[in-house]
Amino acid sequence: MDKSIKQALIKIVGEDNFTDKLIDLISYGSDASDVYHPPDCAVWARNTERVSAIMKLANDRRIPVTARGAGTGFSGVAVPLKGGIVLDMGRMNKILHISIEDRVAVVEPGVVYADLQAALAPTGFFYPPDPASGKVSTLGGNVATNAGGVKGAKYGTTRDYVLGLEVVLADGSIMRTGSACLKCVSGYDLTRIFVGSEGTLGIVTEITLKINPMPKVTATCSATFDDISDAGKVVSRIMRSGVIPSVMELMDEQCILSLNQVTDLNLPEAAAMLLAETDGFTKEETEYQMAEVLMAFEACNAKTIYRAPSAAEAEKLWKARKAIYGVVARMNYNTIVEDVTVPITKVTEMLAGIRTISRKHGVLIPVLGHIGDGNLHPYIIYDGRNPEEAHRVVQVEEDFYNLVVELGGTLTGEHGIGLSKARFLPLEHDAVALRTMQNLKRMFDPNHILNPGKMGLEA
Amino acid sequence: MITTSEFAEKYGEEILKCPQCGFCQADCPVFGVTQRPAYNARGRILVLKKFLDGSIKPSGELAEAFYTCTNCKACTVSCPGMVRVDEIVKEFRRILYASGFTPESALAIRDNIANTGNVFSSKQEDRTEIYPRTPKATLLKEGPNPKAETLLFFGCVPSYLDMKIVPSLFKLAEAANLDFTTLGTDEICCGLPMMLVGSDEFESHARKMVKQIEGTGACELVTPCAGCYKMFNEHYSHIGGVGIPVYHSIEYLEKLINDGALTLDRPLEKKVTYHDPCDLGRSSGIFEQPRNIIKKIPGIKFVEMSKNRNEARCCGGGGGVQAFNPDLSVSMAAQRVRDALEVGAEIIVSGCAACKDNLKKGSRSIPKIERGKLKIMDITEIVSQVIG
Repeated sequence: MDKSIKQALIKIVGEDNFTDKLIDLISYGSDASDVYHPPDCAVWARNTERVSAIMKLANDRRIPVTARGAGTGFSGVAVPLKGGIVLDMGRMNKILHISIEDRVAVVEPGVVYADLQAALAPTGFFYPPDPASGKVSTLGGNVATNAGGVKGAKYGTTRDYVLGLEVVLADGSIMRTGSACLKCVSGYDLTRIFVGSEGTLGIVTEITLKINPMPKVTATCSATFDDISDAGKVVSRIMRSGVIPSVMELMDEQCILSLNQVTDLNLPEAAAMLLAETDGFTKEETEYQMAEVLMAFEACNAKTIYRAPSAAEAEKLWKARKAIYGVVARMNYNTIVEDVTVPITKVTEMLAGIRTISRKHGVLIPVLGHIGDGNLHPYIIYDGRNPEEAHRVVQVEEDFYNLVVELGGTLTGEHGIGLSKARFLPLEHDAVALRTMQNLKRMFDPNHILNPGKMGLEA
Repeated sequence: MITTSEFAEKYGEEILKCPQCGFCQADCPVFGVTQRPAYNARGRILVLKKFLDGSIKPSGELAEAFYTCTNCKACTVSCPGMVRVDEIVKEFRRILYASGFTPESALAIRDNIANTGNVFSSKQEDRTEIYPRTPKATLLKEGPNPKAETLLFFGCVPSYLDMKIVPSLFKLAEAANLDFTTLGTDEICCGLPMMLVGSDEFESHARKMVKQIEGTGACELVTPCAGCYKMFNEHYSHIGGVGIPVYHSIEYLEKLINDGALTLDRPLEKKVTYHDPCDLGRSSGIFEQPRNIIKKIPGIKFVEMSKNRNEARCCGGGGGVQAFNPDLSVSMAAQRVRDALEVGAEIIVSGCAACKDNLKKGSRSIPKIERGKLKIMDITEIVSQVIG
């Protein structure tokens, strides 16, 4: 890296917040995807003013800047594809303000999701999106990718909770968007443009989030099915009943078999298993919803139905669900975690399509899904050291995305486009929409220094 | 010594199967205070991927990443992919050692143990200075009692750094009428720090140690040192083990209390929390016994820190980090002390002299107005205070 740039960066952030050591460059070159490219250096942001000074320097000298939270993304969003500076937001990790009466929490972007949840717990409120990576992922990263989670169907995703932002733009200027009010229609909705923008439009330095009262009662059940399409039908039926479970998760046969091989959970073997939770503020409210879920299980030919008699027994089921990622990740050297999403009425077709694609290309694809909102996680398991197998996986992805778009779905429900899906963006969006996105990108970042190479918008 | 190909053979698959999810960041004590991905399990595994594909070689920078690990095992326990990171880090240190990149401060520990028998390079005759002035202890200063059933093995930190653990254990052993002996000035380091440096010399050192233990004729060994306990039970298996059962003082005290040999009848009106030492908790599964003991003390209100048992935050005192980067070590301890302050604890009890020492340092680094009168105690101390 140019010595004068290095000196200028150190002058802004101090020696302790700058690194160009090999060990750091390697770790900043990756996230949870297979994408790798090291930066030229990394700096830890400590406050908005420094971020502004860094951006001004980067813009003047045309240096790429890639903001990073916890680096838990599956699409390569945090990987500095064109080198330059990684701007690690992890040290801006203060919860600035919580107001229960106003229903807001104001945080710095490096606050870990679980830390906000822990701070809210004594108040009886919570911040609902609940990404699976919440134990480590940062709220800034959640905003950048519009992260969702298991509670998406009932509680929505990050987008539904961001009321306002402080953003440093590419030229270093500082902007506030939105408002701390629960209602606001003042001017264009700049906040929403930044949520899910993957660090390509600006650097978020403060987030105002809406918080919700935490339901006090939950109930958990599971059911197994001999035919995975019956599991898909359950969701449609439940939706028609007017009940929205707080969680509705699907595990396919391969997931169940794998879990039984490496854990002592002894799950019943079946083509599919559904796990559901209902929640509410009274037992009656929760039980009413649970009854609808159980009726849907019965009506859709469930082979076994299990109602967890206690919180401890429910916890065992959730433990099984949480263990899947680790278990499948060990099945081979490479795992691509897809997050294709389709309308609820197309879930059954999508599940069948995944099976067909898996067989066609001879690639193992266990499926887990937040089926309550149509968001499926097919895990593509393969040995990336084998070029022929890696090539087949490329074809699998192409088939996936073609199918999902055909079914009226979206390429990504919660992980983001990043690099992994950048070339498929035109499949989902028409030329006018793409051009509008490109214009937007050019307006915010005319020199293409913000997370370049991502989202396929630099044509 | 381990060669690169042996390392690749043993851990190559394991390293490649790291899912890179980053979930290890949640409980890593070093990442917790530095927010630096290179100082966390995933960062180290990524470096090893590059090492195994031949694109990088051992260097001082790599050593920095691997000698800042406290080897607390939090990453291994929480890894969804079940990657044995603690073992991998230890083994890669052997490569760094063989390549000549072990930091000087770590090498000094190896030399101290090899030359003087203890990590501090203190005189062996000073080892018994801390023995109490009871007739039995005075006699044992002269040499071991060859007919005793139980060998009390104190460890370097309790013997040289701590004022209370050794006298407390003596008091408890005498109160319970144990037929015990010690190695006196012949006790030497168990060799754990040597192994953590990456040196294979710990094996010959361990053989010497086993001979000394055998020489006493004791049929069981009790140690208040979590590191010695782990070393004897886990790593001495390479050389055939110690030959007699090894108990940590926590296990032994619980047995003595349950058998009625010790009664805890003097009340202590304090809010107490327990810090799980990594070498006892995550490594050996000793979680409930210390809590059972503390809860039996009359008057005590036991409070649990939010990160406990398998998820307990390491105090930062292990893995040789204290020698390599003392400031980092103390900042981790301060974070652990804050965990205790958060739940209103007045006393932190632990079962590891190194934890106690480092937590004290961490506590001192926190302004007095914030830490109040918080005390850090070993379990032997608190129990010896409340026996009848």
